[in-house]
Amino acid sequence: MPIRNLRSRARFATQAIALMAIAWTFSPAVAFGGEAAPAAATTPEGIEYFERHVRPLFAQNCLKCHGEKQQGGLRLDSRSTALAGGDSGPAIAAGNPQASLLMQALHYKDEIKMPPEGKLASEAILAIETWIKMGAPWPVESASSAPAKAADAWKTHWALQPVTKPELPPVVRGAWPRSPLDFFVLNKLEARGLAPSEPAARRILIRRATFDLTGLPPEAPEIDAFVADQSPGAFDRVVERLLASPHYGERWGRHWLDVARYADTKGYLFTQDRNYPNAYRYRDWVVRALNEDLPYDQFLIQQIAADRLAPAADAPSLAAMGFLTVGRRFLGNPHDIIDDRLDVLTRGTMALTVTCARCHDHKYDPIPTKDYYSLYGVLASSVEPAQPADVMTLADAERPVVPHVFVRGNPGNPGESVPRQFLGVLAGANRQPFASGSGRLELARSIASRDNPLTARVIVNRAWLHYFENPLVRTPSDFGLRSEPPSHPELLDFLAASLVEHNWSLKDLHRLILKSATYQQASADRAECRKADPENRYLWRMNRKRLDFESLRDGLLAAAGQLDRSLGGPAIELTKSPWSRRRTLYGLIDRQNLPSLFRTFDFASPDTHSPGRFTTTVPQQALYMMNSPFLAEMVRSLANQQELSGAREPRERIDRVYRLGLGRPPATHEVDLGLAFLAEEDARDKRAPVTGSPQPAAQSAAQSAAPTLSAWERYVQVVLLSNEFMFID
Amino acid sequence: MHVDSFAREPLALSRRELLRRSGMGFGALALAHLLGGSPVSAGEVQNPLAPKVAHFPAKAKHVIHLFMNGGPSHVDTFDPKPELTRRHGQELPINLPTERKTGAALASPFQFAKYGQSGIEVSELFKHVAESIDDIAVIRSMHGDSPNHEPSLLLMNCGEARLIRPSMGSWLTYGLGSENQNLPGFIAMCPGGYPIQESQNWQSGFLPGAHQGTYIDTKFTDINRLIEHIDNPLVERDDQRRQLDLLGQLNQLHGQERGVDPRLESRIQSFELAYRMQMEAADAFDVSREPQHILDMYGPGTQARQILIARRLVERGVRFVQLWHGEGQPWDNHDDIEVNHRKLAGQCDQAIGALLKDLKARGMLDETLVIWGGEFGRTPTVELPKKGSNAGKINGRDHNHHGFTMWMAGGGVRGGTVHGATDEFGFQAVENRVHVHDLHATILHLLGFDHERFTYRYAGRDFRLTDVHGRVVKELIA
Repeated sequence: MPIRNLRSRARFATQAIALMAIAWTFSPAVAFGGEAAPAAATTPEGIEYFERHVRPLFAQNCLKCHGEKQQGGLRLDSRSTALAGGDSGPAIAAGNPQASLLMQALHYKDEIKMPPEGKLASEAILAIETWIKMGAPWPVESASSAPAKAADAWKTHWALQPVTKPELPPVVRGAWPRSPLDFFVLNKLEARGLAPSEPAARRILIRRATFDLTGLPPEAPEIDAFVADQSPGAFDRVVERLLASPHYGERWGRHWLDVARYADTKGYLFTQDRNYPNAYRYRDWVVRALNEDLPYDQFLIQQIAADRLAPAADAPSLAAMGFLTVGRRFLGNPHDIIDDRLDVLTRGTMALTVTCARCHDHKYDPIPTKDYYSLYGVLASSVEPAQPADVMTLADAERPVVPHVFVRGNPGNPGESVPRQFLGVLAGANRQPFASGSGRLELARSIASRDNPLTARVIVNRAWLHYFENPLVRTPSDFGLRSEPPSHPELLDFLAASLVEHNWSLKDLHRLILKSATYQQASADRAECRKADPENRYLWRMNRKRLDFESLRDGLLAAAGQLDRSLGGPAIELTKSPWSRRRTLYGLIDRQNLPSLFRTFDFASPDTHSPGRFTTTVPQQALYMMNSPFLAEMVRSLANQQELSGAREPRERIDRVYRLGLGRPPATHEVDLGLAFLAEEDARDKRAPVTGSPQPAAQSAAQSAAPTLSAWERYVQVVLLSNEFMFID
Repeated sequence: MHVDSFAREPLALSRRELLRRSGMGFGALALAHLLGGSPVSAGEVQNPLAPKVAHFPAKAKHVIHLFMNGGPSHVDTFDPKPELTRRHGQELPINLPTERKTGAALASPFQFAKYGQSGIEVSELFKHVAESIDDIAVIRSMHGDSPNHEPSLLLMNCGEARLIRPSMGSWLTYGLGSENQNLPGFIAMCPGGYPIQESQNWQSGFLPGAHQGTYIDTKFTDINRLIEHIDNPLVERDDQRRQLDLLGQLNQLHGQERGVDPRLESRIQSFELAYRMQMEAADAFDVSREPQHILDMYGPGTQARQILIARRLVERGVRFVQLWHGEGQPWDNHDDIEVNHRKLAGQCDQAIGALLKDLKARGMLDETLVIWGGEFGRTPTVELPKKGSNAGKINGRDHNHHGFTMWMAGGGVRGGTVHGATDEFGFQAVENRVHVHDLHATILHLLGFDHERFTYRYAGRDFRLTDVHGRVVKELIA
C-alpha cells in the first residue's frame, strides 16, 4: 500500500465544535450502506464508528453528569452501564433506537430532554441512532478504565523494563565473534538458518570506519598503511586513531544536532532579527564534549541544567544549554516555544512522545496531561538571561511558576495546578515534586539516571542507526506502546548496560561496535539470505550506506585536496560563490528558508527534532552533481592537483585519480575505459587537447575561468559522479 | 520556418501523453513503497515522487492554486452586497474584531453584473474570469481562525496556524506522487521574492524533503535563474551525454561486483532523468514556445506568464502548482483599495480567465482543480487611521477572517454554483459556513482522498492535513 492506511482512533480534539464537525462529516448511510446490521457491534468498523462519532459526543455532552457523577444513576462511560441505564430504566436497546430511552431524550420528545443545555444537532443525533442500530459497539475496556489499561500495558512493555545485562547466547560458529555483541547477532542469524558474510576487504573497511567515525574519506597514505599492516590489532589501531581525531566530534556532533533540531536562525519573524548569532557556541560545545568523551549522562545534564551545576559553570559550559534554546521562536509564543523544548527533551533523550499530552492524556502511553504540565512548569520557570559571553543559556526564574493544566491545551483556560515533577510512569509510586528552583537539574538527573530504563537504550539505538542504517528499534524517537519491539532486544539491553557500566562512555560504545565481526562484514548481496531476510533486519551483511549531504560535500572537498580541516567558529554561508572550503557542519542553517541544496540531499529538517534522515533519490541530486559550479570547481581542483599534473602518462593519471577519488587503484578494464574515453574526447576537443600536458596547479585559478571543462576534467567529473564515490560498502 | 499554430492544436492530447510518459520509467523502477512509519531503515525510500494511487478514483489529478496573497476583498469581487452600498458611510449593526479598528460601511466602488447561465454576480474586477462562471463554484461562506496574515497563511496552506505541518501540496505529492519525474511534483511560483511566512507556505514539515514545494521566482525568464543547476555552462550537452555513457559503464562494473541493490540502480536512473530534465524543464518554462493566439489570450505581464507556465506544467503532469501574486502581501489594501484592487485584478484577471478557457479547450479542466483566493477576505467597513499601521487615508479595508470568498473550478467541481453566504454586509459567513479545514477536506476528496484516512505517522501519532477537523462540502462536487 502506498498510502498509510492506519485507521487512527486517536482523536486529538481541541474543541467541542471540532468534534461536532467530525460527526457531521459522515453520512451514516454512506458509511454503512444504509442498512447497518447489529453485527457491526463486534467489527472493527463498528468500534471505529463509535470512537470517531459517538464517544466524542458522549464526552462532550453527557459525561459531565453521567460519568463518575452518575446523575439519575446513569453512566455513559462504559457499554454495560449505558445498557443497564439508570433510575428511569435501560438507556440503550442495542440494535433498536426506537426502543432506546436515550434516543427519546435526545429527540426532546418526552419529559426527559438531554442534554439539558440544548438539543444536539440533528447530525449528532443521527450518529448516535446509527450507532445504536449497529448494536451499540463499544471496545472492551470502558472509557473510565482506559488510562488504567494503558498503565497496565506499560508494566510489561519492553522499553520500561529495567535494563539488565543479558548472558551471551549460544552460537554454533564459535570462531566468528570478535566482540560480545556478535553473539547476539549470530544467535539470531543461526536461528533463521542464515550465516554472516565474509569480512570486508581492508580498503573497504577503512573507508567505512573513517566515514562512520569522522564523516570524511580516509587519506591515501592511511589506506596504504592499513592495507600493508598485517600485524595483529591493525584495525583496532585504526579505530583508536579515528576516535582520537577531532573530526570524530564533528561527525557525531552533527548526528546529535539532528536530535537537537539545531539551526542558526529563529524561524519566521516579521521584523525582528532572525539570527541566532551565537548558536554556533552550542554546536562547538557538542563537538568538544564528544571529542573529550564527556560521559553521556553528564552530556545530557549539562545540556539541560549546566547553570545549576556546582561549581558554577563557566560561559563555555553554559553554551551546552543551546540544546533547549536553539529552537524555532514561533513568533514569540511562549507556550509553543516550551512545547518545542519539551519535545526535544523527551523524544530526543527518552523516545517518549510527551507533547502528545499537551491537550489531553496521551492516547496510548501513560502520560497524563498533568505530567505534561509538570514538565511545562519546569521550563516555564526557566528564563533566558542576558549573558556577557553571548551563550544561549537558561537560568531559573526568581519565583518558579506553579503550572496549571491548560484545558485542551488552551492557555486561556487554566485548570487545576500541578507540581513540577518528573513523569509518573518513570518516577514510580514515590514520586516527589521537584524541590530546587525550577526543578530543571532534578529533571536532568532523572533523565540521565542509570535507573531510567529509556535513556541508555535510546542512545545506543541511535548509535546503531548511524552504523547499520537499520536501528534495533525502528522508531528511534518513539519507544511507546505503539512502537515495534526491537529486532534484537537482548542486544539492545547488552549495549545499554555496557554503556552505563563503562561510565556512559560513548567512545567505548563505538569501540564495542567497530571491533565486532558484525560491523566488519562485507556488504555484497547474497541472494539466498536476501530471500530469507530482504530488509537485512538480522544483519547477514553490512548495509551499504549512501553518503549524506555533509559527507558528500566534505568528501568532494577532500578528494579535490581543498578541505579546510579547521574546527569551530561562527556559521558560514555554503551555498554561494566563492565556495567555502570549511566542513559542511559549519554551514549556516537557516531554519526558515533552508537552502534547496540541503533539502535536495535529505538534510534533517531543523524545525523539529529529527529521529533520522530520509534517503531519497531525486534528479535534482544528479543535476547538482552534473552542473553545479561547486562541482566544477572541485573537479578542476582534483584534475589539476600537483600529484596528477606530475604524471605525464594518461594511464598514470587515471591511477592517481582513482586513488584520490575512490581510495583504490583502478582495475585494468577501468583504465581501458578511461583511456578510450580520453582518446575520443581529446579528438573531439578541438580547443584544448589535454593528453600531452595537464595544466600545472599554479595555473588552475586561471583555468577555472576557462569556458568549458577539458576532456580530462570531464573524465575526472565522471569518477566523482560514480556510485562508488557516493556509497560506502 | 513558419510554424502554423493551428497545426499544433490537434496534437495537444497525444503530445501531453508523450510529455508525461517520458518521466514514467523511474516510477516503474522504484519500489512501490512505504513512506509512512519509520523513516529509517536501510534500502527503504526510493523515489518518493513515483506515481501512486489515491483512496478512490477521482477526476482531479492536478491542482493550480492561485494565491491572492494579502487578502482580496470579497465584497469587491465575488460577493456583491447592495445593502452595504445603501448604508455607505453609516455605522453597521455588526462590527467584529479584526486586526485593526474599522468604522462605517464602505460601499464597493466596483460594478457587479450577472454572468453565464447561472447568472452569478461578479464585479468588473474579474470580468474575464466571470466569462467562465458556469465552470466555477463560488464559496461565499469561507471563514478562518485569525485576522492576521501569518497564522492565516499557514492555516490555508498547512491546516495549522502555528506548528510545523506539511503543506497541502506536499501532502498531495506524498499521496499521489507526480506524473512527470523530469519536473518537481510541487512547484510554488512567486515573482520578485517570497510571500510573507516565506517557504513555510510550501513546507514539507515532517514529510520527506522531496515533497517540499520547489520555489521559482517568475520574475526571471532565463531558465538558469528559474531552476537551479538546470544547465551547465562548462560542459556541452553532447559532451555530457558521453560523460553519462561512461558513468553508466563504470557504475555497471561497480554493480556487478556487488549484486542486487535497488538504490544503486535508482541512482543510475536519476542521472538519466536529470539529463532529460534539462531539456524538459527548459521547455516547460519557456512560454515563447506557445503560439501567438495563446499568448494573446493570456495577455501581457508577469502574471500572465506565470499562469501560462502553470498550464504548461500541469500539462506535463506536475501535481500541484501554487501561484502567488507577488512578493510580500500585494492584496493587503488597507488603503486605496479602489486603486490597488483595480491594479492587481488588472494584472491577473485576463490570464486567469484565459487559463480556465484554455484548460477547457484542451480537455484538461476536468482533471485540473483551479483554486482562487487569499488567506482571508476584507472588512465591509472602512479601516480607521492609526499611526504607524496605515497611511490614514480612510479608503481601505482591514483583514477579515469571519467571512470571505474563494472559488474553485474544474477537477470535478460543480460549476455555476454559489455556496454559502455572508451576512447582508459581508462581514461574517452565516449560511453553510465553510471553514478552511472543510475546504481542505473537500479538495482532498476531489483528488481521491478521504481526509480522515489520509494520515502520516510521526512522533507517535497519525497526522492529517485537516487535523481533527474538516468535512467534505458535498454541494461543491459535481
